[in-house]
Amino acid sequence: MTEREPYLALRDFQVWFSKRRGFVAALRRSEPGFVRAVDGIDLTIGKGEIYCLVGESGCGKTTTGKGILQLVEPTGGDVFLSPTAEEISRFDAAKSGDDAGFREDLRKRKSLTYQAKTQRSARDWIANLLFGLAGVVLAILAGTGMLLGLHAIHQDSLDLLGYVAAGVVLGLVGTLPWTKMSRHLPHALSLASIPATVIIQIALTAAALAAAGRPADLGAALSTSPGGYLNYLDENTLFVALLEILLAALATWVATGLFAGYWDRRRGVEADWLRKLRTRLQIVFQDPYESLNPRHTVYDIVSEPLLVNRVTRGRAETAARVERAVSEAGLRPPRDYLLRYPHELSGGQRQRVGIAGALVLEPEFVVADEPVSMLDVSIRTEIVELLLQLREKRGLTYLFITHDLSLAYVLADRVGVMYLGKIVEEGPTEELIANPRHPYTKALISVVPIPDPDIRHERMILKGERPDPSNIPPGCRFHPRCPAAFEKCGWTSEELLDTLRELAVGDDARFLLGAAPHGPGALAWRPAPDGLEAWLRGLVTEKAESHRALKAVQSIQPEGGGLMVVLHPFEEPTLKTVAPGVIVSCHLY
Amino acid sequence: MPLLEVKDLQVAFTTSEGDVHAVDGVSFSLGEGESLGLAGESGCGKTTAALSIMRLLPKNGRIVSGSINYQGYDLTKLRDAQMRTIRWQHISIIFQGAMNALNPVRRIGAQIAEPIKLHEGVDDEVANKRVGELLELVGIHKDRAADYPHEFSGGMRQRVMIAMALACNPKVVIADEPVTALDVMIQAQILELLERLKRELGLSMILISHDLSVMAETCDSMAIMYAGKMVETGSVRDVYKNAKHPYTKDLIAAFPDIKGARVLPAYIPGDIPSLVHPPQGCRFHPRCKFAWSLCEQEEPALVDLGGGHCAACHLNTTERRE
Repeated sequence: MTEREPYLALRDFQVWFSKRRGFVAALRRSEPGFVRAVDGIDLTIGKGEIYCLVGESGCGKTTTGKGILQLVEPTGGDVFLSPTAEEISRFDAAKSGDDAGFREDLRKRKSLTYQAKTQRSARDWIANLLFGLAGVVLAILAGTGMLLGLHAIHQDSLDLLGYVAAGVVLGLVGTLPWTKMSRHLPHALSLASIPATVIIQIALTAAALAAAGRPADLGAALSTSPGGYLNYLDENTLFVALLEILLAALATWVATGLFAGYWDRRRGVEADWLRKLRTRLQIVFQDPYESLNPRHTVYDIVSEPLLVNRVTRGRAETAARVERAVSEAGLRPPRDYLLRYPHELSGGQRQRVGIAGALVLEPEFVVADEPVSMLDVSIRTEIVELLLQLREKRGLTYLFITHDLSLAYVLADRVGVMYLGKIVEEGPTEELIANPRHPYTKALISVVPIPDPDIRHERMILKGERPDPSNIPPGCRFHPRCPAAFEKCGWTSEELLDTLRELAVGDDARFLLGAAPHGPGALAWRPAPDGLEAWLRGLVTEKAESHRALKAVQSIQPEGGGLMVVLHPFEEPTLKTVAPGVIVSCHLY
Repeated sequence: MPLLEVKDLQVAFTTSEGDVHAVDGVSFSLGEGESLGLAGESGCGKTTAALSIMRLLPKNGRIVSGSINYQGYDLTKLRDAQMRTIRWQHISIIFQGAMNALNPVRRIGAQIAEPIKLHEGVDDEVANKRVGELLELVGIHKDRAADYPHEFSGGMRQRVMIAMALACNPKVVIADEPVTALDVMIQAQILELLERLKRELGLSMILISHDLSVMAETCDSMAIMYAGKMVETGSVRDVYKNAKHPYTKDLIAAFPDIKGARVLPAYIPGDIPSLVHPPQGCRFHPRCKFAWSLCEQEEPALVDLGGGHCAACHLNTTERRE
């Protein structure tokens, strides 16, 4: 696709977010819904290239950027870091499966998502092991302590080893729920396990004592009255025993809780891998008014990446690197700025601080997430120029995320247009803007305001808003808003029914009586009102241009006293190369 | 005779650092059925000017001098009770930030009905009927009056705000950054809606925005503000095609043009000056490419250069020396 050597390649990249479920729904293991924010995109960014992702808010641009950096966990697909052009083309060609070995091998070597997954599974494995060990140790201590306590009270002559062994068994059983790390309900489970532990341990203590040599007494005590066991352990003993059990259970719970929290913060072994990654891939955030901590000075903000990623040794080195980054970001002389707080800076200066924070690690790749959209127009170019200079100086590669097509036009080498989690069109900037092919791209370009009162151009204003990404329309996901949609774009019987409702005004409303979808591909009337067929045929010939769902009508035929309207079958369009470097996913091409 | 005429308006805010003259001698006028664009960078006093027309300045702000004439009345001199009859029935405002301007715990129908009931003294039934009509007018189904703001998207909330501004059939609508923070497509939808409403209802409109390219498409005349001062006014064509103030030229040049050449737009070096201690002379001179000694000493007046096209720059009135 590009002549440049690729730096980053996404293949079938997905980020899904599961919808929040209620506690009961989670317990019942109902199927979680997903918001498919990024739904399988392929893109390749060349070394030193500026790739612009353009689209409406909520189309998944930012999620893509964050997913690449592993700031959100990708659901599937691959992010290849510095693959060779040959590797990528061989990977693409091997889709059919005959070269599966190569695909696996490349994944292992270069795919971030693959590596993240192995890191994560290693992390989980070690976590579970440690949790198990912690549980065992605490259980042994708790059980043994308890039994030793009882022993001391009764001054029994039981063998110490026997007590320890019994304690291990008791404690293990009592702390079982903690050894399993539950993702959803850890706290609920730990809480519930306290009373459970207490009950189990009381029962087991009784059994152990019974087995340990005072059966006659216990039996006699139990047989005299229902509260016999309580009499058997005198009041004092019982209280101490209960207290110990409770303390042991609490100690276990708190210890595992603390451990889990600590583990979560450290992210275990994965953290080392992430640290290495973060020094190569960085991000500049959208809003410099909100992304800078107001209680940190510029020095704190810019040095933080160095400290958390453990890059520098010693304060002098840190200070030197911070100064260099701040100066490179255009805040000169840097010493004037280092001790200032964000509120003492203008919007443009703040964004420079954000850029310095990303630069200080000397990354190779930067995701610039709408870096100028919150700034005044008069200073936007200053910031954009800074980013361009840094590319020249450092050979940086950018993924530039913006909703502003006119900015993408002047800035990008290549532009990808995203809609609802998919790339619908991609191409070299000039070609894409001058000659847009996808109807969505055409519409987007047509509504960009032009700073010239003499040019009055036709605006293609799309109706409605983007659909809910948790309920993506079938077929081409753009078809409900598309001004050029036709038969096979993905119309369903529900949509056709909605269109008919819209058209059936006044007397015609009677035609909708008895209409019901017959699966997604057909609409049935049982029985059919008089004149229905003629009405429908009339609509299809007259209104299909303005109400595109009517285009999907394949046949209208009587069936068993009613009427059946069958729709054209549809399929989801795939990305096709239509011109050098231009790929479009639309049935028109 | 213009419908609304602002003359020499001065607005000051009392702050701990001293008085801030956010609007400092600003004049403009709005004819019937006309739409005026008020443009400038953030902090230049656009919103303050609009709020003073509505007499809705925050507590630490006050109108120091100047007049706001509306149909023969000076709005700066009206008593609060009189002002209340002007607000919404004559002049209404679409507040900035549709996301936050609606009350999140009240149904939108009730929020739109409130000014109708308050200003016209009608009962619930009449007000609710009006709410239905207003919602249909801005392209929202009337059944949605019972929904809460969070059930609407950003664009839809902006439509609700527009319906609210139109609730009492005003003659003048002030739209404060009506499309900022909206997606391009939604932006186009809202601008189309505003244009349609203006045409159908014969509204006069003041559109406040930092986006000159939006104004080029929607306004008849334009006024450019900088650091509390008016620097240039005139018809959209005059201001765009024949800008007479360096700031206007720079601002226009800062917009990338998707139909033009593929070059990075220019930028204006430097920062917006502090309004507590504004620069002497012309307020733009520290950032101006053409500034000379006169600019530091003397403040240029807003001079009519013919056909209602005014600019405040020494370049237009004095021979440049040095």
